[in-house]
Amino acid sequence: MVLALERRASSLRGRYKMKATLVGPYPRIGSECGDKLRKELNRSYEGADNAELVQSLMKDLTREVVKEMVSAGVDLPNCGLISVHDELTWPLEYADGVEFGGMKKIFHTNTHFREAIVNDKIRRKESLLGDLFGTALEVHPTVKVEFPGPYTMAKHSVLGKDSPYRSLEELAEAYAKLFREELSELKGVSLVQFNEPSIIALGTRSENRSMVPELYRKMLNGLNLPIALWTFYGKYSRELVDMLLSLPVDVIGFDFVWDPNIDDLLSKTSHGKGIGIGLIDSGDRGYVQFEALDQILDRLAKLKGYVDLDKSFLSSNATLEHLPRDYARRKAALIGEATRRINQ
Amino acid sequence: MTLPILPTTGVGSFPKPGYVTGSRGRLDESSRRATKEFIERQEALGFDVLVDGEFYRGDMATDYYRALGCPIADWTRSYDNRFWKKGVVDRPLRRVEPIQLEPFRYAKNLTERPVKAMLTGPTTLANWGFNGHYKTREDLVYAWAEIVREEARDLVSAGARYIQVDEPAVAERHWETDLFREALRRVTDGLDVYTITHVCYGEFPLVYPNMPYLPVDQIDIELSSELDLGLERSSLLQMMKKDPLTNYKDVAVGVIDVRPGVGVEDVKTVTKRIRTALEVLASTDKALRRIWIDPDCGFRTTKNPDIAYKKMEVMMEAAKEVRAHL
Repeated sequence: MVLALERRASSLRGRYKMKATLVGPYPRIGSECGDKLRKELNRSYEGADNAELVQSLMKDLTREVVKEMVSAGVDLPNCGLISVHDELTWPLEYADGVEFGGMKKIFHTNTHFREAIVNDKIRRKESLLGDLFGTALEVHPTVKVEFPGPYTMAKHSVLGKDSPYRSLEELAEAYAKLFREELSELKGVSLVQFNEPSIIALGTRSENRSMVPELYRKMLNGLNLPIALWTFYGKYSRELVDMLLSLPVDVIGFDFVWDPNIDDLLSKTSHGKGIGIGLIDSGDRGYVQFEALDQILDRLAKLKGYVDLDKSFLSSNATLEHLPRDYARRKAALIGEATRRINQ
Repeated sequence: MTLPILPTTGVGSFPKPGYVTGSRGRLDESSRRATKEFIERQEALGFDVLVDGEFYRGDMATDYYRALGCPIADWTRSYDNRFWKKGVVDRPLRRVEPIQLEPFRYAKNLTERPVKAMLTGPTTLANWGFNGHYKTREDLVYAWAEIVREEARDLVSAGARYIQVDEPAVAERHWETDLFREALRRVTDGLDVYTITHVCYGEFPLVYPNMPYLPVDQIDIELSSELDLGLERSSLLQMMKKDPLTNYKDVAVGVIDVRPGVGVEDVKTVTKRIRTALEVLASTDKALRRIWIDPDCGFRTTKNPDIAYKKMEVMMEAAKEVRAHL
């Protein structure tokens, strides 16, 4: 507890140390509140008039999961994203010009997203963050903002017959504008993270990535916010690592679980960025082993030679939603403990 | 029994009525009652090949893990408010006793019409749990294939004429298509019955080129959202039009959206979906005779028995309408 307080105090003074974080939605159920939310949502699908209760439970659960992440030692949690349908297209619920179409698998997993069908100009209706980010801030002073990235969202959309956009590039830029509008209203946030699995994941949802640098340059130009771009569900090439490290963002997240050789590529690259070290297996590949703390520390010690750990984050490679809540809690605690130890 | 043109069928499940409780892979009195009622409803609506409604099931994958004595982890989310419990393979997989035999026998004896026997496929079983035992993916998937093959043999012995192997995970690891196909071959090889594999909610364009070579008589594919997109916008429909699956297999076309929160379609919408499917897949009379009509997936995900029943009615009405104008 004393060390945790020291770390927090140090962080608040701006003396950087490696931080523990998590990626994507946190498991919803596995607690009394989560189970109650599941039941009430089911009731709402059956026609019950319980919208207020559902919203209240979502707020309660947000507080609960943020507290759970923090007590596990996660320095920079997200808001838990417990209200989102899926991790890929949810911000479009707060935008005009799009409807949700068919459901598809998220890459290699048995999680699903709704394909966004774009039929009109994309316009922000309201803040993309929703209420629950504010709820998370009620229980912890530093919560990162997290969105699916515009490239990945475009790759998971379809141009409808009335779409004013004629290409993937145009649609990705429209999504980037949507986020730029949102970012321009954000003040004092610890980190804004964009998840871009489509940059490295296998399959047709990950082609044409050469547009990414210009897309991010346009989206972020002139904005003064700490930005991270996270990649997962795939492997890297030399060229890809160079491209990622050239992006106008502060932190690049890498998937060390899918690509154990990423260390070698990073060791040969000179850059000043923070690295998201996605070293803890989120279970997306169907394994459920719990990593040994010593092995994590050995790996981090090796990384110290070519990664600036003071600017970096230790995390799961992807969302812990691939795991039941009790397993996720253990993984979060492992990330927290490894971070604490490496910072000692 | 001779089937009509555009035969109609279900995919498997139906929302559990309130009186069905606690069925986790076992056919109890409440699930027997629900099965009987559901069979009668399908008969009354005129379905050609019936399904049992799967009222005895907890989950299509978890029940197999449970039946084999594997540990079951807590809930994991699939999307929105849908969850399942992942089983953990912590030992060599061995079947203790038949899993699907009793439910099939029970449903079959309730009707003169054919009833599909349902199985979960080896790739889906492997993907939807955790592997804590087998060293390679091949070892894991083939171990499941052996279990499912034993199940299939039992079902054939019990008089099954249609066996459906559900493989919604077909496109998850699209780079493992050869493994998927070989596992399915190990299940269906030598079975002297009509075999089906049901696939849904996948990135089908990634695996479509391999679908003609899958070792089954029929591919049952969720298609309603693609049919709504239309030939001009759907890359999958474009692939299908170019090289129709009906050149190789019978195809059951999913024309009813069963996702939670989606309302009951009108007959016109579903009729349009069927006609679009025919435009894509039925360029010849022979191809037309290879097409079946069914919902995208099991009705259980609609959550609501009344909505599901109305959707069944709409599907049958639309099929009737299209048949009348062929």
